[in-house]
Parts: sequence; C-alpha cells; structure tokens
Amino acid sequence: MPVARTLTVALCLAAVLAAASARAAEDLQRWVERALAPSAADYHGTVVLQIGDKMQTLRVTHLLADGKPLEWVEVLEGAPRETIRIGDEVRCFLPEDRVVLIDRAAGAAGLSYHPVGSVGRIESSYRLESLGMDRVAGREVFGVRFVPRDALRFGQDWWIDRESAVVLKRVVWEETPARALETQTFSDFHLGAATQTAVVRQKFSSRSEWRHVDLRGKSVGASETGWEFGALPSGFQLEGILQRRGPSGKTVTQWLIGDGLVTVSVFFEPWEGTETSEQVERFGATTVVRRQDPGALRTAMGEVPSATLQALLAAMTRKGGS
Amino acid sequence: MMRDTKTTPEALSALIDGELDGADAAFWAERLASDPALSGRWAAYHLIGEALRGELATPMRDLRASILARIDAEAPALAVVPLPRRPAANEPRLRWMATAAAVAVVATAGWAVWQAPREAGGEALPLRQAAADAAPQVQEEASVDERFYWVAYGNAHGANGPGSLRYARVMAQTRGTH
Amino acid sequence: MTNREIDQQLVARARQGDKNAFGLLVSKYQRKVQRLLSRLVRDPAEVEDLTQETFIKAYRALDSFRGDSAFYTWLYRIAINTAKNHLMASNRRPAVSATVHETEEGETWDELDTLSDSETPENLLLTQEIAQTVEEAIQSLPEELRIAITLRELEGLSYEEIAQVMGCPIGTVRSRIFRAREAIAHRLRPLLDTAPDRRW
Repeated sequence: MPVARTLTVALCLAAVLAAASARAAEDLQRWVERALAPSAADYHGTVVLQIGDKMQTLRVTHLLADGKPLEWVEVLEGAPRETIRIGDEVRCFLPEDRVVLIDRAAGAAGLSYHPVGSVGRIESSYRLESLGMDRVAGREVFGVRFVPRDALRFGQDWWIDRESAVVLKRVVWEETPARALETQTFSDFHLGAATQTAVVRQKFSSRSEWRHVDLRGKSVGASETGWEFGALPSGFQLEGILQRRGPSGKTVTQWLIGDGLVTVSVFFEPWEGTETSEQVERFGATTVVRRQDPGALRTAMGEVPSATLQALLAAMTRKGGS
Repeated sequence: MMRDTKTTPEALSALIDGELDGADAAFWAERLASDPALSGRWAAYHLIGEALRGELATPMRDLRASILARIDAEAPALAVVPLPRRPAANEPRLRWMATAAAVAVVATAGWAVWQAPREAGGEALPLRQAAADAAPQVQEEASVDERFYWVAYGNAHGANGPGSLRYARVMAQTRGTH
Repeated sequence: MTNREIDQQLVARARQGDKNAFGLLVSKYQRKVQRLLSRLVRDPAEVEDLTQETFIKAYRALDSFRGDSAFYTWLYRIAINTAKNHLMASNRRPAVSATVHETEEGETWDELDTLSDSETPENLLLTQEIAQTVEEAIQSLPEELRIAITLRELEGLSYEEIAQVMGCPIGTVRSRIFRAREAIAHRLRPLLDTAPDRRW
C-alpha cells in the first residue's frame, strides 16, 4: 500500500475529526444558550429537590400569558406555600404567617440579570463537557457539565430537555461530580398548559386579607452605597446594586455579583454592634457567610465555596475609609 | 452621609415641596412616620398650604385619630402586633441568624411586619407569654427573618437554577426545614 | 422625590403594617377628600362619615393599589364610589357630579357649584379663624419669607424658579420657605392644640 495514500487518508480523517469536535463545542454552546433563554413553552410537572439530606417536592407550572412568563410553584409538603410570578412581579404566599411577599422578578426592568446566551462569559470560568443524550422524567435530555476552571466555584450538570430546552435536572457538585451538594429534578414533566392563566392570575391577586410585604427594591449606583469593591475574585463582575427595606426596617443594600453561571448576593445593613465575628453555613449548594464588624452587618450568599464569599467581603471597603 | 438632625424640619419642608432627592428623600420620608414631631409638622405644613390657597372651604374635624382608631377596632386582622415569633417545634431556625441578636433590640415596627400573629386557635401568644418567651434564645432566633434574604437572593437574579427551578429552590428554603 | 413618590413610599410602609405612615396620608388628603365629598353629599355629618369610610376602605384595599396611578386619584375614586353607594342606598342622586382629573403634580376637578350649606356655623367659625390666623401670620413675616412662601404655595414655583425670581441661592429659598412655615405653624398651634378634638 502506497505510503502517500495512507497519509492522505490519515490527514483527511484528522480534519474530519477536528471539524466534528468544533461542531460538538458549538452544539454544547447552543444547548446552554437554549437553556438560558426564557422558555417559550408552556409546561408543568413535579420537581424533587434534594438539598443536603433533605428532600422537598414541589409542583411547577409555567405558562406564557400575552408573551409574559407566568410561573407558579407550589410546595406539596407541609404548609401550602406558593410562589407566583407574572411578568415582572413575584409574589410568595406564606400561609402560616398569612404573609404575601412581593418582589420584582429577575430580568425585570432596572434589574441586572446575567444576559441570555452569555456562554462566552461562562466559558471563561467553566469548561463545558458533553454528557451526551440521556433520559429524565421519561424524556430525552442532553447533558452539559460545567467544570470549574478554579477552586472559586462549584461544578454543575444540566440535563436539558431536547424538545423544549427546559432544564429537567440540575446537579451542583463540589470538587468531583460524585460529590453532589444539591439536586433538582423533574420527576414528571409535561409540555402544554394544564391550568388556565386566568386561574393563576386569580390566585396571584387573592389573599388580599393577608399582610403584604413589599420587598421591591430600587436600582442604585455604586456611588450611592458608601462602599466600593477592590479586585473581585477572578471571573466575577458586579451586575447590579439594589436597595430594599429590610426586615429590621433599615435600608438593606444588595450587590449582585456573578460569573455568568451563578450570581452571588452581598447584603449590607447598618448595625449598632461593636464586635467582630463571622459565621459560615451551607444549605445544600448555597453558602451563607455572615460577617459583623463595628457598624456593619454583611451577609453574602451564593452557590460558591465559602472562600469565594469571604474573598468578596474582603474586597469590600467603605468609601473614604478602611 | 452626614445628616444634621437640627435641620430636620427644613428637610421635611423641602420634601413636601418635592425638592429633596435620592437617598436623602428616602431617608426623611421613612423617618417621617416614626417621628411624632415630624408628623405634626407634616400635617401643619399641608394645612398652611391649603389655607393660603383658600382651600379650607369645608373645614372638618381632624379625622386622622378616629380613622386610625376605627382601623384598629374594625379590622384587627390588619393590625400589626409586634410579637416575637416563636419557632414551631418542628421548624428549627437557621443558626446563622443568631448573630443578628443585636439587630433585634433596635428593630421594632419594621420587623413586626415579619412576625404576623399566629391565627386564632393556632399559636397566638398572649403578650405576657411572648415577653416571657423572649428569653435570649428565642429572641436570637427570631431576630431577623431569614426569608428576607432568601427571597431577595432568589428573586434578584438567575442563581438557584434557570426558570422555575429558581423559585422552587427559594420556596424550599423559606419553608424553614433546614 | 416627587409628591407622588413620597405618597408611594408612605403607601409601601402602610402596606407593611405601619399605620403612622397611613396616618400621614390621612393628614395630607383628608380635607381634599372632604371637599370632594361635600360636593356630592350635602350633610356635613354624612361627609365626615363618608370621609372616614373612604380612608378605611383605602386602607383595606392598599394591596390592590398598584402604583400605576397616583395615590390621590385612586383615593378619589374610592371616595366617589363610596359616595355613590351611599346615595344609592339612601335612594338619592348626587348633589352635583364631579370628575377627577390627574395632573402631574396636583389634582384638579371640574369646577362645581359651591355648596354653602355644608358649613355649620361652628365649622365656619373655625375656618375663618384658621384662615385669619394664617393671613395675619403671613403679613407679619419678613418680606423675603412672605414672598418665598407665596411663590411656592400660591404660584407653585419650584425652588429654582423662586431663586431666580428672588435673586438668591436655592439653599436660601429652602431655608426661607421653611422659616415661613415654622412661623405660621407657631401662630396656628394654640388653635390646633387647644381645640377639643383638634378641629380645623
């Protein structure tokens, strides 16, 4: 067999393989883009959350009403808590306390939200890997793994519905995929509307006799907060700043800082205490670091290791002081 | 931000005229409701404006007190009762809130909102009982409501998973099983 | 912060259960609501009842106030409905009809016939007393205070415009208006505080 011919075949094969892998990378990006985009499909199903050693079941309904997303989540165990989002507004109904919490939804005007299709940004902090096709809730899904490029973040696996691009299963893991911190899975999932939007709308404005707590904050500029950030941990950017009235009646400032895949919140509120202390807790994949300093109470929350939150808090200084 | 308390009523006067902006305006508008001296001026300044414009054609009693009294009397369900919230036995509280004990001391009307009285027949606590229960432990745990943080965190951005999963996650946490 | 934003902030606080915040809204709008109602209902006692009812209804419905209209137009709508229901129940027609218009920074309604019989002699006396006291107070003010408060309350000028008219810095305008208000409020105080149920 002529050597030249073998070489040609080998070169062609290499070119084909390279093209195939480039296509595969593009495919991966497209899957992630589709999953990040607001869902255009109506769907409903049951979600099982595994948070640490706790389990929780919820019913989820997603509808499009006049082009606006309408989401309805009901807790199926214990008190019948509900969250309903219609367009820009989210309401949480807490029956034990007869309280309705009103908030603005992510992506609503004036609120920063990681832009749809920011796969490029995600890829600077995570390596995307294909997990291939599989099945979740009896449906065909495509798996994407986000492998962190450093120790500042957790890994994630998303199983994306082939037909609707809804994420049917999401696992957050630490260090290795075998160490799952939290899993969110649809145990059943159906496309199409099982509920009329009017029913959800009616629920949305019901319970008017309950206490309504308006959490809606306003967007503010960095100069209005009295704080500034030095160098943020690698890959993280400031996405927005909100001010809300907190449970103590004081104004709470909330910084949103994200790496494209996860967003961390840092809350600041004035505090009369004089001692310094720090507490770290983990709830499934969510880490909470609460730091007290003279005059300042700061709470950082996010699906990242505690060291990342501590680095964020350390990067924060009072303007014109230390 | 420096705020000279001596100039307080002057800031209020500017606020009424729509001449105060940003954080200052928010600060005074908030302060207004909790400071009787400011509330009194608020009422007087409005009255003066109306008197100057000759708008007092139909004078009536100042109805503020009787309206608020009727709200209290007729709609007890709407009235805020600042009871320290006692966690149910099956609802362990977040430990990370314990550090905020100092906040509880200064928080009054604001946080009362978060502690709706339990429904009748349920766990409604008589005031004295509540005071007795406000031993350090209870007070610590009820000091700041963690739900505020979970909801603010979960709603403001895309963390906690895309789409509906985000709300599912927040709801699971606000149930307080962790 | 505009008037509307101030109202919205007070509404937000009231919604959270802060009754004092609602009390501030009552202080601010009760006479306007009374004036409106007195054009629909003649009996002053009824006007007073309906005013109270309006505010109580508003309080109960606070969470349905969406903030896409100004608080006072929403309140006036409640007042008008309350009056209509009342008249319907008592099988009467409104004394006159009223239409509320929303403007940027204040409310207007169609000019209506003034109903002089809604004023009892007692009320009339107090109005005159307040009006007279305010008038006297303003006349005794130093000229620059009198001009500043007049331009603000009667002409509705902004601080910047007043500063131009008076040829002084805005900070001075702010201080003059405040001092004028304080001086007038000081003269009014005995009238408001000593009145048995704080009549005005």
